[in-house]
Amino acid sequence: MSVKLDLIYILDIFFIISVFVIETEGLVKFFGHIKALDDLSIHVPEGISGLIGPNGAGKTTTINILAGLVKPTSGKARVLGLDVWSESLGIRRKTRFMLEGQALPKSVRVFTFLNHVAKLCGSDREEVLKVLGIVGLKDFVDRRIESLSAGMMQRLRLAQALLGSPELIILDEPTANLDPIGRVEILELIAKMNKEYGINFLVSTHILPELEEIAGWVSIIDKGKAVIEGKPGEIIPRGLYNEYRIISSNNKRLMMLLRERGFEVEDKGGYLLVKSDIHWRLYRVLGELEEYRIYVYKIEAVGTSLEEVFRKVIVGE
Amino acid sequence: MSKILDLLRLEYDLTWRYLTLGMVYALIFIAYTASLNVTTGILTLYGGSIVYLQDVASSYMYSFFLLIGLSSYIYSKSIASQISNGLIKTILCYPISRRRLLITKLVTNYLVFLPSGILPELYLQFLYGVDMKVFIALILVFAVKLLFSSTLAILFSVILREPLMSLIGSMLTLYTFEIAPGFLWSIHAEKIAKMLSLNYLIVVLYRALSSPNFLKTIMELDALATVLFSIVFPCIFFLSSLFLFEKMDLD
Amino acid sequence: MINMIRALAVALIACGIGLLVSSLIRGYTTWTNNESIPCIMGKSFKLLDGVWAPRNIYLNVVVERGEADIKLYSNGKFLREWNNTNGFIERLQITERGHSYLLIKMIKADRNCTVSAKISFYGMERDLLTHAVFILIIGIILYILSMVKERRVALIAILIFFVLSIRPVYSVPVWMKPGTYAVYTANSFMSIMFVNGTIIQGDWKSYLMWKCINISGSQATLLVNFTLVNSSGKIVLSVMDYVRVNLNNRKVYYKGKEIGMTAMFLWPIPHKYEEVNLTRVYEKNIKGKVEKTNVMFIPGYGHQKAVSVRYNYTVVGFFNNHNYTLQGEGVSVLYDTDTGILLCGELDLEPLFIVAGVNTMTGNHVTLKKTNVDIGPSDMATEIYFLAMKILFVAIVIAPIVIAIYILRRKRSH
Repeated sequence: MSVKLDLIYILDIFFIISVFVIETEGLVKFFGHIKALDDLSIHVPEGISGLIGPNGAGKTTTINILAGLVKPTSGKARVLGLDVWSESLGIRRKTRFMLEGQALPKSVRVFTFLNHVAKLCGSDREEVLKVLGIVGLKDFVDRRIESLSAGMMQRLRLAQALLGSPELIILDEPTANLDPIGRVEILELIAKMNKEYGINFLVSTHILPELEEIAGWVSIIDKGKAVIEGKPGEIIPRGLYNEYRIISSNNKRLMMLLRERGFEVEDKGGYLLVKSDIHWRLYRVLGELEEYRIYVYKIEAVGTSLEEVFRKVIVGE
Repeated sequence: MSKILDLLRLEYDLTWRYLTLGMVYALIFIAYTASLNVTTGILTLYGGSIVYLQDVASSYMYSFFLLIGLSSYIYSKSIASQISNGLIKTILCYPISRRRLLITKLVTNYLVFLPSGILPELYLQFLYGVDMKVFIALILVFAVKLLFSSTLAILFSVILREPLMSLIGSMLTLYTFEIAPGFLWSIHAEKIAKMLSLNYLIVVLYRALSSPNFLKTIMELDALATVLFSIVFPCIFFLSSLFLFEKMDLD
Repeated sequence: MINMIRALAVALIACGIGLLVSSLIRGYTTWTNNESIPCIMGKSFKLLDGVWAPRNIYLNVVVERGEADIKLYSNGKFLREWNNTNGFIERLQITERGHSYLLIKMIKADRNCTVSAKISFYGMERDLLTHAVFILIIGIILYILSMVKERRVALIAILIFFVLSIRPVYSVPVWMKPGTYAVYTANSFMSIMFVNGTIIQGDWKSYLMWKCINISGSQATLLVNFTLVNSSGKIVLSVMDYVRVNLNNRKVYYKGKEIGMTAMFLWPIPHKYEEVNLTRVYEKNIKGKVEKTNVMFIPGYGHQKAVSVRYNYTVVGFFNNHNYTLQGEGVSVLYDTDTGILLCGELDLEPLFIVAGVNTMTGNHVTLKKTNVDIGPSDMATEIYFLAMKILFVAIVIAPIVIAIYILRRKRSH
């Protein structure tokens, strides 16, 4: 198995990828007696990349090490060619981070906070206003951060990461706390920023389908070790998960509307089972259905857990 | 320079709310102006400067006691609380070195605290026309005490990383420092008591300011150790905090 | 910048509230001080020497195995005396914060004679409350300025308010018109030296009246009446004559000759810490310094704001075969802050006395008895003090209710 993985990795290195924005070699991190990272070696190329792993896989520890917040016990890690511990300040001049559940100063107003961040990153208030427009927070500039909803808070976290014209943005679970439409918007925004401004992204998530459409590279880690790296289309076959469970405010009406738009839908009692080969198509249609006052409470892809992916793709079950 | 100012502003916005600022200033003002000459009745202006100095200084002690609690609270809020809730991680994701961040925290909160001790003293100067040397001695000692309690509170915040525990820890330690000289005096360990007593520094500074040779008077009063203690200890506290903070894992 | 102004405003408001609270705490705290001193015959000494707060005092003095003349000086002014006493209990009010003491002179003293004094202070300190309100107002204005979007308009409005509240300054007192008059009385132990060299001492009552008869340019003609009544009520001296006063420089001319500079008014009204030439009789000159503004109760006129001019003087002279020395330390005279007219104070030297042939009057503590000069309404600060007290008590009652409602509403909104 490992020979197969190494081969993919070597092929990618020599024939596809020329520059790594992030590389780690034999990264080990102990928290007391707990081994959070176990000889982790990943190589992230330019463009949009994903760092995928189940909860407790070591994603957040990896990102904390990349941000210079945590010192690795052993091993090396470089971001944009700079060492993560000794040259951390240099990294943070070129890289922005959005950490999982990142704490924000609750009593400060949205604009004041972003203005402070802009000044620290050598930017100005014009860029703050621009970024506020991009993330859709322009109407909330005078609000105190504590008064924002969880979704708004997540947009603010993204906004602070966009300031200061970074070369690389590392996002830890950026779509957490967002509704389905919000998730699509954020992912589209990432793709747009990459395309228009050439910003590289490393997106950490435990929801695999989210990255399928936008990421050019995926590193899957588990139990502090790299499991597989490569292009998503190559390591995960398309159509692996094409069924979605949806719970909405009016399942019957939603079923009718989805059928009108060409989806195969089954009513399973408490939820609808929808077949869609393209993940984003379903999300966009659901967004359009808002005008019918149908609210989607929950949407999840069937068989998207990483354990299932591992079983299907890596172990070959 | 503008970067430093930006950092100071950020730290001020993160730590201070107008209500907190108002509470701190009001409490210190109340403690000082309410207690002045309550115990002695008449402010002895012409009965000898030292008697008068001791009268004013004894009233200042109430503010010092309060200052200990307030500075412990603010630094635990600014450092321990931000470490525990992750806000410090957010700030350290921007291009700021850890050293600069900790220095900014000390400087900002120190600068916000300092006028809270100067304002009531200025008012008393206006009200009673206090001797300028007394005024300078009191302000200097307030500044030294504030530095002492600030650096110790920072050290506790960095070590304990938990707001309540660091608040309790630094408050207890500072109060111990406050009452230790009295206890040492009672067991006739005058030399150590003098060294640890920052209150004794008020008398020392006043006498040194009144004399033509500042340093000679300090030596004569056997107060060099007190002066060194008040300068060296905050430095040790802060350097230790810096060392620990730079090595710390912010997981 | 705006945040800094707002922070300063908050600090000022906090200090104002702090001062208000501390003045309340102090107001409800009774301070007591004791002092006891062994004494010998003929010796003068001070007791309870220090800065006294402007509060009510309860004074208990005991002279054991002896008798003493005791004088109370408050803020440099003689306030009260007790002669040949072996003790007393007295309640008094100190109106100004300042250096005060009991001056004790032993008349009779046995062996082991001691004087002990106990003083208790109680009641509010008015100056603290006034300062608290002042600091609060400044803080609130600054806060409003930092909040208002049209900051320039607000700033201009405040400036206009202050400019309008400043009175224009004229070179001569505007209130001096034909018919203007003022009557002063003094009733104390005085030592009067006449120009002919006669010296009389005793408890006298003196009346000094001046009335403006005519004004020509800056020259005013005043009719001066000086009457001296002895302790049995008999008029000893009553003289009336005209003098000319230059309203620009207060110089007094009598029978065509300059005799000095009057202390009956000060114009323009001096600022705090300003040095002023207070009075002059021939070459004998007294200079003073404006120390502070006080509130002085004048019967019939209420609490009037006054500038306190303090002076020390030693005048040594030789007159009509007599050597004389006039001495005064920390003596104060008070002038109305609106008009500059003399309200009260010790006036030993004054050129208007020359009209009655009086050279000096030691211990002449005059008080304004009557005048038709509009010295203004009762002092605003005192009014604010009473208003603040009322508001404060209402606030103490209402605040817990408001806070409770706020907390309830906040909980509901959450």
